Amino acid sequence: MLISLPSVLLLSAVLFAIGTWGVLARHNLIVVLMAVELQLNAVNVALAGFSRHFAGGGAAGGLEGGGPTLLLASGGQVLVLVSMAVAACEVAVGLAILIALFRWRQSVMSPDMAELRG
Amino acid sequence: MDVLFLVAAASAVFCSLMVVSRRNPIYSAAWMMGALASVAVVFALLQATFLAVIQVLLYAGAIMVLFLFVIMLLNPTPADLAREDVPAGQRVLATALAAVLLGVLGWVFLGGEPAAAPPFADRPAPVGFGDTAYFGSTIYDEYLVAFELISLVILAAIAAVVLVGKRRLLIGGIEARAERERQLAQARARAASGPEGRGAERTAAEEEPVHAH
Repeated sequence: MLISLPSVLLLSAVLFAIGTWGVLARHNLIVVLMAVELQLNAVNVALAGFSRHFAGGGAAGGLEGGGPTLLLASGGQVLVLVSMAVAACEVAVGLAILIALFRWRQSVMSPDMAELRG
Repeated sequence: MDVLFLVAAASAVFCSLMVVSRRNPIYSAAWMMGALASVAVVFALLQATFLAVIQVLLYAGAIMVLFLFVIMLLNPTPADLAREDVPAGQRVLATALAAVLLGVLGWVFLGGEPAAAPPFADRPAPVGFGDTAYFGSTIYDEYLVAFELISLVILAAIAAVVLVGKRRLLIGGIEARAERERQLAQARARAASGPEGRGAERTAAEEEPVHAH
């Protein structure tokens, strides 16, 4: 009885909070980028959980199977696929910027780039 | 199944904590693979089998390799890593903010309607939900435009990576900036002299290095 919507959402919230901590409390930009990936993954877990929730027919909370609702449910999984593609692009661009910054400052620590502050 | 979910969830949380707490990014990347694999197991338990496979292929196979490649390329020395010392104030503030975020998310997710949702086992999904055939027909029947737009996003990302990677364009140091300013002055001179001022433009271009010195 453990695999239910609340437990999946709780896992997602915990992963997202850990990712947020990593973004806020680290100086190493590589790790910050990984923490952003962690946050995206947490959102994907929530999306997959909701998708499974709305796919289930019968009991309260879910809508009856078939028709537009089922489409909506699998739409959650399509959204996860889109999110993964965007995450891959984001990592590619982010790491390219990181290498450019490293060429500039010989460092990947955020305090060394303080003059990028607005 | 429940035990498997518990193990996968605990593993995902533990690995994530290790990712953000390791000092050396190589260890972070190694723990990140564990976290991503655990999330793939969670996907599989949510009957998103295709997503579970894609998670392993795309994240562990492509993104993490990219991360490891960059870490090895930059090759941080122990002296670099020692610069990680985040001020205590920032650490405390980050922890407080993350805790507040977790509290709000938990309140929203567990306090309202979703908390009353029955376990997934009681409400079976339709046969084939989440598998490749189902997924493919959903994409190509209903979300074709969004799916095709992904390719545009990827194309834009490729162009951006090439642009950022060009050494002279972004990080050329002082020479690049000086050259850019020289070109700007040339363009201004050309615009000021009008269409017939070919000679004036040439003199402006030749004068510019003298001014720079």
